[in-house]
Amino acid sequence: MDKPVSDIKLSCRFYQEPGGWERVSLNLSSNGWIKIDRRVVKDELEIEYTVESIDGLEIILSLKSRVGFPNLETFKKLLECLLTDCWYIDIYYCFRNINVESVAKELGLHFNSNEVKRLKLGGSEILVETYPAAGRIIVSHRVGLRDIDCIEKIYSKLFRKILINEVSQH
Amino acid sequence: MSEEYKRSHVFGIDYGTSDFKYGPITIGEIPEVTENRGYFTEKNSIMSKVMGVGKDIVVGKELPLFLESREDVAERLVYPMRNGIVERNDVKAWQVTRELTSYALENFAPSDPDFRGFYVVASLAVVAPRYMYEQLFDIFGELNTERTLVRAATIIPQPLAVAIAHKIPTCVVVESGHGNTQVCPISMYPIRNAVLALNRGGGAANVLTSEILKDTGYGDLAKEEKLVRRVKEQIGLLPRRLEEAVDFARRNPDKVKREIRIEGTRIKIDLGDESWTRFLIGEYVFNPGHEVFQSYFKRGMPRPSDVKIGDTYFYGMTDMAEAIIQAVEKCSIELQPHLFSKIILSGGNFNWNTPRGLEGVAVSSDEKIKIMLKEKGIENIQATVAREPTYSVWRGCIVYGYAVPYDFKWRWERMEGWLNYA
Repeated sequence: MDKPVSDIKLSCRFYQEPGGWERVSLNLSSNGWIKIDRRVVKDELEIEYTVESIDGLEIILSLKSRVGFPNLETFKKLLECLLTDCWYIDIYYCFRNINVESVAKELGLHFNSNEVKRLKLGGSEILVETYPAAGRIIVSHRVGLRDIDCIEKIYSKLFRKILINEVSQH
Repeated sequence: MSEEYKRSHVFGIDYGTSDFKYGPITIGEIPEVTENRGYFTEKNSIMSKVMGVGKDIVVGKELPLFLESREDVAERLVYPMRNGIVERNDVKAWQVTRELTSYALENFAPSDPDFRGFYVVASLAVVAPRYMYEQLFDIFGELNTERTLVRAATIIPQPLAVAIAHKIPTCVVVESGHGNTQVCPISMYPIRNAVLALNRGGGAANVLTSEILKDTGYGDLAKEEKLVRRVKEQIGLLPRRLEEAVDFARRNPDKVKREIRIEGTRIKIDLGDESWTRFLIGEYVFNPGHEVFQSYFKRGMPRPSDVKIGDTYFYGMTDMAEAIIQAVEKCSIELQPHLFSKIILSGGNFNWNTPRGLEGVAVSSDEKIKIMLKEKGIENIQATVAREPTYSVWRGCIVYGYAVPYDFKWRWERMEGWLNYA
């Protein structure tokens, strides 16, 4: 099995008026991110602008980390920065090349089907989806400025399980 | 059904001639990839009954487990597409296409009561005839018999998907996959009467790699297509100018020599003194008409031939720059400079890197195409290789599905919008 990988998509929603990549990238630039065309980079993180809805009320960004999975503090700072522009962000973490069976077992999910489980962590609803045939697990949740602290709980209670489980597999 | 539901349930499918790429919007940047082929099992055989093989057609990752003897494989293994086209009356090919589509959607359909089907964006070759659109739409409808897998579907040409992924409305997309290459000028929509298709892609470079392996004493390995492809990907180089690169390789053999190991086996490959041939592999993709290849043709290597499939001619030997020029020169003169100034190279066949120490000798695809076009008198060229070019069509499907409003109905006259099933 190849090294486990996680892709993160951030679906940023604006409140009532269109936002867009220009606004978001300008905000990130003023917080130390370097803009290169449709990307911004800072430390180990890189964000790529993917698409914007026609009404301009939502954009999708793709986040990559050179260190595998983003460090909690760095990630939280990024979200705080984005949430000065955005109303809320739907975050999708997709883990691939992982042993879905053992991770699903650890999380109390069946691994034989494409199961969807709703968990409550730090007051937020977390969706965990397992796709064994594709060897992927997708975790998603919504975050706003008021509940940003849920990220810590999700990291400590959920991702540690997924990532530590993986470490023990390799 | 809401726009919000649609945005989180977009599903992209890229029907490549060789590789079939699929997955929903939520899976990040890399889709699932499986070969575009299906194996017809012999369900009535006693072994199939004993082993509990219940399927008529096997597709996807488990297919290799069902392969029997070579004679059976030739008869039962079906590759449905040729140069991106499925023949209208090829029943078996359409059965495979249906099975693969179902396989892709079932792989990611969540067992969740809130799931109401995917918004599927399929991508076909720009030369795909209308009947392929019709048959594919029929397949999407048929897949909903047991449960709703497809809420709505749309189909877009592959080069348009690439342009969408890059948000460039006026450009030339050169999409080169395993089997063929499509050169497609785009000005908001594909300019269909300017499209030029080549009957060669990554597969042609595999054929040459196989010949090189034979010549260097690895004839036994040259028959294994998958291994040849891996060798090509690891040793192939794209020369800035072939003569200069070969001269460099002969003067600096150590810089060009490379030994590769095939993971999980004891196989090691080293081209030794013939390492200069690494440059032939890349050159062949761009310019198979170079005189150096004559010796291979004379010894029996098949020359990429001109073929007509449906109403489309696929040219075999036209070099890549010439193909771009011919396509662009079919467009209005006012548009031509804009097209030359935005050329996007997409598809796995443009994945060429410059190894350390070979800078200036080996180049990437965009540099190569700029040099070739400049030599033919074209100025102000801007060419870029799509990021991870193998997946750019799939990414374009996702972007398109996300952007098109859920209530925008399919219109045959414009070939855009959603065809609703549920």
